[in-house]
Amino acid sequence: MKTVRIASLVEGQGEVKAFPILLRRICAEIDSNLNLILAPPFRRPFASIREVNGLESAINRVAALNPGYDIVVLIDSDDDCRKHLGNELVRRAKKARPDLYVSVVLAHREYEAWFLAAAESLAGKRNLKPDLSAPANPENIRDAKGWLCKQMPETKKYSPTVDQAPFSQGFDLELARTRSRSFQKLWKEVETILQAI
Amino acid sequence: MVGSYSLKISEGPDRASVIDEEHCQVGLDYFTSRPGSVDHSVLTAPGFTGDRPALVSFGSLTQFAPVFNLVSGLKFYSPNSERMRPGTLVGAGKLLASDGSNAADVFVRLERTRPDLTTRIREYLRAFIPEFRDVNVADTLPYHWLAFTPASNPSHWRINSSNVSDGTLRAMGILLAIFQAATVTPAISLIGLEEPESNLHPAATAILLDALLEASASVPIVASTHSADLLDRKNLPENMILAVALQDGKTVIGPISESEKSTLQRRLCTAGELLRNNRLTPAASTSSK
Repeated sequence: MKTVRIASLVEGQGEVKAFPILLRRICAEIDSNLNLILAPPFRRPFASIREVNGLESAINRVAALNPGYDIVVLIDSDDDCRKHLGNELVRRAKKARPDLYVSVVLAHREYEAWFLAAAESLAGKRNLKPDLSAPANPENIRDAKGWLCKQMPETKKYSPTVDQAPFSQGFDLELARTRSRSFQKLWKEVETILQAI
Repeated sequence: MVGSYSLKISEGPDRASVIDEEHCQVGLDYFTSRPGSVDHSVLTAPGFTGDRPALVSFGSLTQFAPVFNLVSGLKFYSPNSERMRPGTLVGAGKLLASDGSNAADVFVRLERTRPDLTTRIREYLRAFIPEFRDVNVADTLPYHWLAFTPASNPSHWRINSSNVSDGTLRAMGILLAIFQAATVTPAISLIGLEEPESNLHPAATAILLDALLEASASVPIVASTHSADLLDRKNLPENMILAVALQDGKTVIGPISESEKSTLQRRLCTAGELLRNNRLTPAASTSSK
């Protein structure tokens, strides 16, 4: 059984619990015969990763805390061009640490867009309406968290720190891959890491 | 309906508080009271003793009742872990005490009438303190208290409120304060929280903010804070933030300046970073004492 060690750098507080759950599910789909060791995600606020030396210092800290681990950087693209920002961050990561394999994944526009892409699989769960269906272009919705709130009764709300992890456990990965290019990118990056072992 | 209510208080000769002026306006109806006199628009004024706010008397009239209900519906909370520790006599739990001392009563009532709220409270508690997987109320009648179940618990024992941390009890107090609002009659008009982040782990402040935002769908919430961590959230609407400063002996409260708003809107930094740099300041003077 091969052993894979993955550390991650994330922006959002909800991702601290949610992203390891998602990584574990994806890895199990790609290869069910893995000894997967995930480090607790290291979180940096959204602006600091993009500023000068922000990504570099964060990667150095993650690498120092988790020697020998591959690193996945997950941030939201928000209103930025996913391709341009992604390429820039990959270039910076390689320049800072050519000795490490660092994947950079930009959720477009945010992590919750992946839930929108697989909305039918979350119908009726955690206050979401039972007849839920995905919006036409899930990655073009500007406020995916707000969209989720609107699919719930008025007094209920999607709260990332409490709901992002259970949603990550429950949404249909295949539906998300079909409808979300940024989720496809995450899947490919994880495949690359697993194939390199 | 648009109205206003103001109260001006000063220290009297015997150091007791004295109401210098009280004014209420609802549409065309109004009353204004000063020591020894009251001016009003109503045909028949209610009896007024002058030793309490005039709103207590005028609030019985239809036109001013909404103002009375709004002011009397203001609830302010600062859960006190030491007051929450001991068991308490079983009570109705209709409204959480300001120090959280009747938390067990309120939890029992919510569990009975709104189990969806206690389910949500449990989810937030688990997010705050992953070491606990459940909270209930234990009793040796006529006393009861909160009891917490550890996540890793092969012997199925529980930890009573007298033995958990200050942070755990404050977190429960805040969650009960904000989520009870949907169930209280007469209605709570606003919840005030003083530094709700106190005694909470810094990593828990994002969870606290989520809880406040969620509960605010049912009741307006005002929270004072010194925590930059609490404000480190992208997309935090700048109109949710009021800055406070002490200027010339007066407390000034107001929205932040246009340059600060623009910085937030352009996502150049978070409100937390502005606070760390002492850049959350009131743009205009809205004075209050």
